[in-house]
Amino acid sequence: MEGSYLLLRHRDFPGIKDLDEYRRLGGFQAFRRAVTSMKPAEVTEVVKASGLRGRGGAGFPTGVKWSFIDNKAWPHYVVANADESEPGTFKDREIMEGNPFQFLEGVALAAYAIQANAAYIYLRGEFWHIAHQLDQRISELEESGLLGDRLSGTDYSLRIYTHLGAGAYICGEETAMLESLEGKLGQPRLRPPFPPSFGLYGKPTVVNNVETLTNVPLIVERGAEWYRGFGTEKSAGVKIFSLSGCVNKPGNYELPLGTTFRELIYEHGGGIVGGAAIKAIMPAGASSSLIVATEEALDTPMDYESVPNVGAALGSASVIVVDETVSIAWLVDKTIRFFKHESCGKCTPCREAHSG
Amino acid sequence: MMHLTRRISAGETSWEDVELLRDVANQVRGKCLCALGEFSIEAVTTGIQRFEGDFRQSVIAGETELTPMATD
Repeated sequence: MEGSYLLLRHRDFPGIKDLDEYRRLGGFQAFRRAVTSMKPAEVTEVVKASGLRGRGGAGFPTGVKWSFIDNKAWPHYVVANADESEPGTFKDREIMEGNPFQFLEGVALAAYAIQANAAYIYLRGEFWHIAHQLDQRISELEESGLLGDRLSGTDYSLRIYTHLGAGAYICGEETAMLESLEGKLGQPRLRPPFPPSFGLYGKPTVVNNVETLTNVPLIVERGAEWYRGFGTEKSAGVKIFSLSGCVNKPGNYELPLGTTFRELIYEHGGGIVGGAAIKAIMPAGASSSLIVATEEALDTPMDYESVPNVGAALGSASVIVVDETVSIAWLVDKTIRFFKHESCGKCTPCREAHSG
Repeated sequence: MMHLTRRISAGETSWEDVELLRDVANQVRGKCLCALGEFSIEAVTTGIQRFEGDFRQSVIAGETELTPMATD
């Protein structure tokens, strides 16, 4: 059943957070079909053909990442990055609270694609209540036979586990997250090797963002061509833009990639508070470059290729709007205070530069 | 950088501190293991480059305010 959303489907179907309703809407058909009648590599190929790119910030092609998994070393793992710690980003929370089974099905499909029998969801410590809800939903899936041993009469088994962080921004970085998951201090690893060859416990691991994985069930169900019908040629699909700052209607907006800053801020976000003039845009949270909000910048499509033309990156698309009343010197002070607090201290330049 | 940005934001400094802040931020680039360290200085470098007037205004406002204190 189609609504106007692909990811925030609870806005069309409020009951979708219940398993029965999710299944009534076609949920878990993609996973069941994959397990019973698709080879793992076929799932990866569909995702690759869809053009889906990582929604956590880097924008790396998801299917390509899955295909990098080293098949000479076993076991394999999937880790869902639900740390969501970038200031101004609040999309994964809404997905996990509102449409949790689509996310969990995405985790399951990624696990099947790389033949992982265990998947971990790493949530920021403040999301303890969401972890609790997910644990209950994972139990429901096990009781329904959608997760567990020998799924649908095949040899494939899958368990999903949640894991809570302890409030460190750095653990949103994939290798620090893996260290934390292993019970160590959350600090990044030297790369290469990258997680698809040396990940969790030194084994091949796919790390994907919550939003990325939530796209996967519909891609497998409806096909790569259908998905490519959204967005632009090189940035396919939809994106959840977390809009905040000096706007009248902050919130999550699911829109096709390639939507302009102007449409997001003025049509969906209701314009600037008090009718003030817009001054700057931070398109990717606190770790973002500051874009001068010229007419040209406002008309720039928000996709992975176009945002660099105005001197920034799309990143996690947490768009913070700054109006003329805000001093950029003040804003810079706020961001540096944040990074001083969150620098993990492993790399001397980052640690010393922020502290001094 | 935190001490510099605090002083600049509060106007308790001179333009030399803004230049020092920019230099320190540029020293971080390319020297961190992770993207979080790498991108932590983007707001500083692009802020000073693209919104120089805000930093000048902050410094000037501070000097004006500081004058009575300096002569007391």
